[in-house]
Amino acid sequence: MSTTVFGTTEFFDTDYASLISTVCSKSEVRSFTKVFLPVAYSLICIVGLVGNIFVVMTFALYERTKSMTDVYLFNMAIADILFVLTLPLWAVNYAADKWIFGNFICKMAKGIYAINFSCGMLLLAFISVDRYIAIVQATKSFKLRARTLAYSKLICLAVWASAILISSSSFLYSESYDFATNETQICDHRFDKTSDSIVLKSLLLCLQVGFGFFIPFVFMIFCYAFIVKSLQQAQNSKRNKAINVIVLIVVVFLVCQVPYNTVLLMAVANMGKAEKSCDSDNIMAYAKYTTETIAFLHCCLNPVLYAFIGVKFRSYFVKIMKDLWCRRYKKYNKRSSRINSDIYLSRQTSEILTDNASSFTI
Amino acid sequence: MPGLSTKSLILASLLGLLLLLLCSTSQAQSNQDCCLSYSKVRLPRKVIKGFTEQLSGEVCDIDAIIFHTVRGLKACVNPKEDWVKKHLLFLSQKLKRMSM
Repeated sequence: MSTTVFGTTEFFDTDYASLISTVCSKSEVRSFTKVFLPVAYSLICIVGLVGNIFVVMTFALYERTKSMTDVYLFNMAIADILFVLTLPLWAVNYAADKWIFGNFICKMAKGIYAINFSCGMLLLAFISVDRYIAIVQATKSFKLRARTLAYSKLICLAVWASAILISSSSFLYSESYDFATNETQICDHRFDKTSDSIVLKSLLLCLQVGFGFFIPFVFMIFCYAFIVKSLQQAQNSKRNKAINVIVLIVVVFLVCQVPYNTVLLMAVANMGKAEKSCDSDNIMAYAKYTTETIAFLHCCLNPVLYAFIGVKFRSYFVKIMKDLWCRRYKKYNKRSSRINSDIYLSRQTSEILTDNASSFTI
Repeated sequence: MPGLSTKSLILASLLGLLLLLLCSTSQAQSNQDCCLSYSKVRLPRKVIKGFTEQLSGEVCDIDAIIFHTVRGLKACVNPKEDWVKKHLLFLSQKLKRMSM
């Protein structure tokens, strides 16, 4: 026994100690995620739920013909609601530092998370396309939009179906398993021993950045650039406000999504590297969790950016609220508040610019 | 001409949808302890009291064996190296003896 101890002392006291790579401890990151993520996720969940439920309610109680953007906004609100509903599970996961809900809920939570993330991003792209058709192709827009509106259910069904298909790998690969190094239960992607996991992981990350960021980004830039160009040609008092709203939408998208996607791309670049330092890996983890939270914040801002910024949506929303308030607290008063038929849920940022007998919907 | 660009826009979005079928969003956990590189020196068998296996298919990115030393050090080693394989064989035989 004494010889063994002597032997080890001798071994570790030599220069060999510097040649030994030890496990990179993430205990500091864990103490950060234990506090920061549960708080952030809870706040995003509450704010996101309230804003998006308002959008769904206004849409459901709104009787006039809906525009294509209205339909997209409604679906985006549904996707955002489903997305934020998975956040409490992750809040508990990070607070407890282990997955306690079992394998089935792990697959469901990962799957729903992925479905709604991709669905939301896809709808952002579709909204910009619809606005492009409405404004830039204004002369043809009436016919075209009426036609697409007829297919609105089909288009939304296709969006949801593709979002589900995209996320099937999340259902397939996610599982709740025992992570031996930290002796804890985690819910994450897990690949077979036979498959090349580095390639699969990098591929998944690249595709996430590609479709979760670049596709909606390209569509938004292309469509909104043409919209702004068209608006500049129009002589209208509301023109500047409409341009400001578009700039705001693009800026918020960039501020929310660029940091997170940059970190994801850096993670892909680092994945192949043989010698990563523990310090930089810790910094990357902090950066990932912080930027991810900012990216999630986007779904709280969607109702504000796309619905509440519109004057028509706001006034209709106020009417509905008043109506509900009256029904609840003045039951004896049979006089129901009339909803002004002129006020209706606006499309997009909901400015209708009537100029030269053509209506521009931004 | 504008009708054509609208058509191509719709086509492009449909193509984007099709490509989306291949993609998936991942929310990988990054707060777990991992081996990032391998030790450049052989550890003597007598200092090792146990081991853990790190799989690249799980949260960490590389395959590794973590040797737990008698002094509480967790050393990351390459599972492909011969001396590591020999140590693992020895440790598993020891474990088998202990369980019998």
